Amino acid sequence: MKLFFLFLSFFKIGSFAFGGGYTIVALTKSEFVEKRKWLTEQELLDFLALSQTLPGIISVNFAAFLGNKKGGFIGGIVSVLGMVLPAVITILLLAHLIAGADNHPIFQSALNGVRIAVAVMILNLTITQAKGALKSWWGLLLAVFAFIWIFFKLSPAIPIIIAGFVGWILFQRKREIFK
Amino acid sequence: MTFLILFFKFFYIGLFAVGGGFAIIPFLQDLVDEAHWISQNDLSNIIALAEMTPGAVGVNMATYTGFALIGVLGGIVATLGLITPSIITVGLISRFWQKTKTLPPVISVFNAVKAAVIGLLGSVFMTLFLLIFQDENTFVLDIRKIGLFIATFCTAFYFKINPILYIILLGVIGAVIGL
Repeated sequence: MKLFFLFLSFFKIGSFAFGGGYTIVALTKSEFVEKRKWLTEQELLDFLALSQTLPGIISVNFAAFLGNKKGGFIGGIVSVLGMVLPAVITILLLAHLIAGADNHPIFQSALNGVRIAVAVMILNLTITQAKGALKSWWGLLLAVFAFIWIFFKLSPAIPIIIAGFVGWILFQRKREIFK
Repeated sequence: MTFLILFFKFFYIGLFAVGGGFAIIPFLQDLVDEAHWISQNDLSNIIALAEMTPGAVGVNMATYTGFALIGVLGGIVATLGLITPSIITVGLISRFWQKTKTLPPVISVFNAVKAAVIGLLGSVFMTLFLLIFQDENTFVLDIRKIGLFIATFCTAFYFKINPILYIILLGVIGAVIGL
């Protein structure tokens, strides 16, 4: 029964979460902290911090943490499936429609407009994220390195792994200084 | 293209895309440049559609990409590939999470990785920006497109407008003026 409720709750959250991660957090708060009281506010913040840090989609990690807490490993699987199912269904339905209209000239013109919007969105996202993350010279250096790396059409996994190592070494050094 | 390759490609993305749904865009760009699985136009459509539909944008993008490659089952397999690393890592971490509570080295690693992700996003922006002016394999510097880009960016940046809004608006403008 608990597993069923986990699935249902996350299915609901996944259905209404427009615009990604932060909407999902707000919905989870009202569903699990306020309504069901399965989770304290502090636990929610801890799970969120961990979900952002781990690889993978933040909201998927988040659903997995909550599911694991309430229903073990199986609970995690059930919650994640509940969370992604509405998105998968919507996309598959819409993709069919788009595939049919693809060659119409008006649709092509509309897509040309949408393309401008997408570029604006990514530029905005890069600027907002940069404000928080590029405070130090090594952060800036890592960003520039990753930017140049992609121009050689090489795998984006490498800059991420290198950055991970740099972060690890910086942490070790900081710990020695404070010892 | 087999389902197994698709699954593991997205498993790999789920394992290395750190920092939220948009962090998977550089990996999708890699699918365009390196593997030639999807076209640059596909990628732009995927990002726009992912932003406009409910659910995590990363999941939406995986579903659409899988669908574009091998249909409905492809969409499902790509999504399962993307979420499997999350289910495993979170399942493992949940076991010892109660004991350790804080993970400062992980936070330090995350901050460094986030800096690299900004560089990756910056390069994705460059590619998408150039795509705006691509017209049937020729590069046309359309003054209307430049005007729309600057106007949208300034409005969106200063007034913090929801991307869904200007994606739809620019789609309509594009269709009306025949971009």
